[in-house]
Amino acid sequence: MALKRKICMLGAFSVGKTSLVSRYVLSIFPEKYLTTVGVKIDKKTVEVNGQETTLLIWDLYGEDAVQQVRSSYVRGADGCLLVADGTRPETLEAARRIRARMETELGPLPFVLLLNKCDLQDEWCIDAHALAALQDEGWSVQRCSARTGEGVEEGFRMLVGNLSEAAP
Amino acid sequence: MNATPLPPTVRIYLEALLLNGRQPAYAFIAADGTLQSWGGEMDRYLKQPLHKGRPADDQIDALVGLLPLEGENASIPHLMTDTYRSADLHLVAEAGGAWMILLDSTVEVHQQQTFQQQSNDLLLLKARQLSMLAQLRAHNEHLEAILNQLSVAAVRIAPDGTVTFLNAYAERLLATADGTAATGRPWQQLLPLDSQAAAAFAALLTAEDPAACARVRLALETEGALRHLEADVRLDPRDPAFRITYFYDISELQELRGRLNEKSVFEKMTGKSEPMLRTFQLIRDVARVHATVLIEGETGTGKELVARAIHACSPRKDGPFIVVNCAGFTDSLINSQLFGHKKGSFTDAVSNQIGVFEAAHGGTILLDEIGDIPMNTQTRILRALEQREIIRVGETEARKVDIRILAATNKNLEEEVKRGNFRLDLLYRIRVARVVLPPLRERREDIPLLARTFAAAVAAENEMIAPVIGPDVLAALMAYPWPGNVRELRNAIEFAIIRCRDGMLRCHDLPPEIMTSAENEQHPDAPAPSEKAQLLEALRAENGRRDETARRLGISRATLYRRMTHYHITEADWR
Repeated sequence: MALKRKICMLGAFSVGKTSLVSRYVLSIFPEKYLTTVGVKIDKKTVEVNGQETTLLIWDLYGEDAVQQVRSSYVRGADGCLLVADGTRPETLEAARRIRARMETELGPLPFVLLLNKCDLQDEWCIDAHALAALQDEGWSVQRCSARTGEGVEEGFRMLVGNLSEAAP
Repeated sequence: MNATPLPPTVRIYLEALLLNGRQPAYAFIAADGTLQSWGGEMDRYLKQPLHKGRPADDQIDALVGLLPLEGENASIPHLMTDTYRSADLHLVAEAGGAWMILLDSTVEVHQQQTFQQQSNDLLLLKARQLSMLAQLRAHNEHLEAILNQLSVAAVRIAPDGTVTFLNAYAERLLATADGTAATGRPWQQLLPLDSQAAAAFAALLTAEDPAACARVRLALETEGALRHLEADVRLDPRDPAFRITYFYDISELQELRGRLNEKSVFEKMTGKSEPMLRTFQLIRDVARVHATVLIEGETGTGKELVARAIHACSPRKDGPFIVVNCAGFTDSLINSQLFGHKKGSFTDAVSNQIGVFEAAHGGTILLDEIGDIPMNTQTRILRALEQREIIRVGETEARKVDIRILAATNKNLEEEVKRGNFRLDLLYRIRVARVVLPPLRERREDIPLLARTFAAAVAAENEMIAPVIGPDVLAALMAYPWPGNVRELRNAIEFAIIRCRDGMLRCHDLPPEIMTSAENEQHPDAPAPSEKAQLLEALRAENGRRDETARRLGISRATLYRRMTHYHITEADWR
């Protein structure tokens, strides 16, 4: 039987969490934006170090000014993908806050930051300097685009790699 | 299946939820994580059948990571289940295991989804607008920084003339005496211009297509310093009713131009050609002395301007300057007009009258067209020149006069002496010094400068914006022989400006004789029109009106008559 790993998608609203899951699991990109309420669990089985592993991907609702993600959703998670929209700098700050809160409430967790929407070059706001600063702080960061698929597989693989490193 | 009995409190709670339409489903999970029993509406949420005794998290994905509870309850609101219904999942710790309860929240999620979608769409729209606004601001800041770097003052003016924006350079450049250049004031307050400049700027500001108009030059006193500006007006692309005026500070350029102009403009005479520069120097030289000067040149070359310049540069500049057109006097009147008369000395002498020689006492007198003076008057003028005294008609006593005499002619006086029309001794007496003015055709390099100078002057006189002179116009002006010299050029420019419609002088705006000449230039085989033919054409065009014909040809009325006589032109010739 495949090993099961719980992964949570976290981030501000409309950063593309659901689209990234669709791209990763189904290889499709839904053009229409539909906000997520609650949580939807998708599955994808991958091989990690020769071991078949089923990733249970919890696609959680996005945070906004009036609602935060409850830590109960993240309880028992093996790792998290923090998603930020590279065209909205405030979503990077939201990702920082979410990570800090989850670590306070649940303890250290493997995290990878996905900077989504890298296809929108003209509107891109995260410069190389800010990216380097995040990496200096120990963040694993991956630029990606759910629309084009660029960097999506790499982002998930990066987290899965971190999970196996963190596994006992 | 319900192998594990429900506690009474849980059963009552679930029954209440059932009545409320929450369609509860429940299961008991043993401490070892295996599923022991379940009941309620489980089929509503799970597609796969459940198996007793197997690990619960193998059968229900949502439980992965949540078990064991270790004494803590857990809650997952709005979980999308296998059947695409939303349910709230509750895990309640119990002795020997845990209860899992699923309650339908599909309706609530649907309602929340609708609300949340609208809210997020609005937030995204707002974020996008803020982003665009920030980009716009950054763009504007870049533009303003560039404008400031380029030393260009930008001022936005509303349709009612109110200034609505000034960039930083404009605030510095247009700072008023109290150090402020705030918006919300009429541009007239910001730009205290003289009436002529204000009219020119207002015309530019209200032009339908200001971009097609030439820049307006303004002199403005700010903070006690005189600044020379060039104003360029454009429609505001965001609202064409508004105008954006760019002011270019050309004070330094103006100063340099001024220095250059000292050489090209002398006492209202314009020219930078070698013959004219020599003339300017000659004028300065003869102005210093009291000698009589004979000014020679074709009609329209500016003989009177030379005389005025000599007077203005001489020690007599504060005295009177009187011009006497000798060709305009009749034989019977010339003596009286020049020297005055005594009451009763002839029929119409009803009172004592001084002549122009006496009127010019302490100053300068110009005897224009001196070659047309009758012989007997020449004798009296000779006496006035030699003795510096005159005798009024009807008197016998001479009167001393302190005058400087300048004479001008377009005739060859030596030829007139040979023909017996002019006294040789008078010629020698008036030709102590000579200024010979070159005809315009011999200093063609001055034509562009003269044309632009006249265009600016004529436009200013008519409160118009000085038009741009097209290169084809300049070429035509350069090709024309200019028999009427500078006067004809000025008249041609005035004629063209009156006809000009769009701020650019074009060939078709020029008088027809210049165009004809330019066309002949292109067809050198065509014979050049003779002077007589030109006179006849002009007389026909002006229906015989002498003033208009002379003006059209750029010659004086007297010259017109003289040439008509020379060519024996009568009314029958042009009718």
